[in-house]
Amino acid sequence: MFDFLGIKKRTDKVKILVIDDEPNIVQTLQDRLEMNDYEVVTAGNGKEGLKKALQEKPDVILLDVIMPIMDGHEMLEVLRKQPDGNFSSVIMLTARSQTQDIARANACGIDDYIVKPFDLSELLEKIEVVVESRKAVAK
Amino acid sequence: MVKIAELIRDDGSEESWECELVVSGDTPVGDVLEQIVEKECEFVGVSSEDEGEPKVISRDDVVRSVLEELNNVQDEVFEVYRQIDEGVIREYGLFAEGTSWVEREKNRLEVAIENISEGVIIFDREGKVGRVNNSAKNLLGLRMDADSEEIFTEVEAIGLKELMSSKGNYHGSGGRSIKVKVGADKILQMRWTEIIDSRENHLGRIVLLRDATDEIEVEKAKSDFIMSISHELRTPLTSIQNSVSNILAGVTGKVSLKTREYLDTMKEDCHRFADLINGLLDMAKLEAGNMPVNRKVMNMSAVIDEMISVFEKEAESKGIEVFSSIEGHIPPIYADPQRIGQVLWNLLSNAIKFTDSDGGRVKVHCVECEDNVVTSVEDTGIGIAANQQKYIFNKFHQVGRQAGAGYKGTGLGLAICEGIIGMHGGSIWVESRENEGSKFFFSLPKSEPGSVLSNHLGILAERCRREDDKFAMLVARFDFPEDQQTQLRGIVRALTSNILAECDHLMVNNDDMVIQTGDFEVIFIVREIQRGHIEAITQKIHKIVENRLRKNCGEAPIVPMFGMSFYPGDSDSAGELEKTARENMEKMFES
Repeated sequence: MFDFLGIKKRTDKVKILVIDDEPNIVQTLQDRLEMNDYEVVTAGNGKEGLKKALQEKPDVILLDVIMPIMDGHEMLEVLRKQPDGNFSSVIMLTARSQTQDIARANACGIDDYIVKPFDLSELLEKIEVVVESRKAVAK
Repeated sequence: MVKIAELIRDDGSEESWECELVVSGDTPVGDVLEQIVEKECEFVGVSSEDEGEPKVISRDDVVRSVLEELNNVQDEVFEVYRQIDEGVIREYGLFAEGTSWVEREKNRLEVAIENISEGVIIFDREGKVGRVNNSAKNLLGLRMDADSEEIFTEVEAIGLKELMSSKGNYHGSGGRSIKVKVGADKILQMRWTEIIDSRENHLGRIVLLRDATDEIEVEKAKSDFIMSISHELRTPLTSIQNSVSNILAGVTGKVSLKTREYLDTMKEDCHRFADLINGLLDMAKLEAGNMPVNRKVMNMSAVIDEMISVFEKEAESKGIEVFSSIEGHIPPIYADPQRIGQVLWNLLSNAIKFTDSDGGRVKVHCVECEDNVVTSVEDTGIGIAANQQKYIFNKFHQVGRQAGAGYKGTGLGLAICEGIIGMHGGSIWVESRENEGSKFFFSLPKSEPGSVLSNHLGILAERCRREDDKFAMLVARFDFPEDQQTQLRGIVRALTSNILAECDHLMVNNDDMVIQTGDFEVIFIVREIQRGHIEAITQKIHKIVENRLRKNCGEAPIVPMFGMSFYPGDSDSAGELEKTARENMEKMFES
């Protein structure tokens, strides 16, 4: 099945880190992303996510907000303060579109956000946009 | 008609006045006033049966003098009263005798004002505090014997003067309403209206205050509850929706036709469920006064066309004709296109739902009126019974299965429409006849950016003052050389509206706003709700502008200029901010 721009094989290697405390959401995201030839790593909470983010240096992080131990906001704040903390682009997956949440996320530097429940194809488009702009900046 | 007065001038000429007023000798002046207003008498004549020139007093004079009376302002007023009182024509029996009677009536009004639980503040024509009742003093935290100096200070402190002097529509008619924080933890609901006489002279303002603290807490608790439930519902829904989407996309392998049918239905059901949750959430936000409305200069016709195309397929499959009818030129309005789109979506969805197939028609009409732009969605459907019409905008009001197959809907659509239109200062209403069809109207005030901006600044300044916050105004202008005007004009205009659209999603905080103030200029208002917020937004704006410039303008000599000012800090008055921001303008990027 061709999902997206009719491209199945990617010429570039793009690594995506999925951080969400709902195992099924992580699974479905991973399956879809891998089908679209992205390399996927995962984490189940903010603390683990932070570790993986620094370890794996993903191009894009899909970050859930409401999570136990350390939520998405906190994780992002801490991440951005690290050296190299600005390497990854972040797309926030939020079930709450409260203005304060998004404003707070913006303050820590997210590149985009999408509200749950979302259309997977819409998320894929957003990922593509972020990847493109990373390439443009890298030039 | 009763002759109530006669004027016989020095030169012997006569004039007399009549009115259809029936009062007996001891009718209280309040009732007389009522009758005068009701029967629209122009004059109330007073003549002395003994001697002297009859005085002719117009109705407006009487009304005005009652108001001025309350302000304890003019001695002539008492003179008028005294004259009315003394100059009763016994035969016409208009007024009772005796000055004590006038005093009694005056006291009656005073007692009424003093004892109502709402705080009352009356401002005179010049905007000075005229009268403050005990409840108002209480609510404002003033002593009972506070003098006008202290009253005035407190009134200014809560930003009343600034708020009231700003123009702009907050409610369709009647007056404006706002919540103000007083002291550490009290929140007052303030309503105010102009006092205008029949000749449209501005006589003053009357402000009513009410303690809304408890109400706000209850609303907040309700709204927090709904927000957290929405989150709980959205999580499993996301999981289901993702799984269905993946199966359809082939992640689990080939999908048979029958399976695909089931999955498509499941996908639709997920959307329906998501709509329900969103509807509940919107309703909660509206009620808590927490719905972010991102206004910009927009065109009604564009939104109408967009929404009609969304329903084209569905209408066609039902055999219903949907079309737009825009009357003449529609001026741009200043509103949130997403929310207005939402309103149109709801109205169109209903129109199509409740109109029978084959031959049904849905028409969207739009026309400019004096102060507003009025849009209507008209259908040839089942209509609404007259006795039901007053309920349809209520929350959770649903039309039952008799509407036909298909789901009932959440019953929130129209309530949400009303909330959204209300937030924009407009009105929504319906005309309908059973079995013939319905026509839903909504009006949106024509507002130009300048006044909306100053309105917003006034309110934001007050909020920041109370909560010890700050906000910034950022002015972004796109300069280009004069001699290349003709070539670059169009490009820059498109650039400006593109940037407006892109920066829109940054403005999610209620108090943040981006507004296009000119063909080549955009102003941002950003409130610091958390440290670094203003800086983050500013950086994003720079990024967006840079990207856009590179993408759309290539090598064109367009120079973005950027100016910023802070409140408080740069200025004590919100109104001065723009001037400071413009003075601070410099090139956005180092060349």
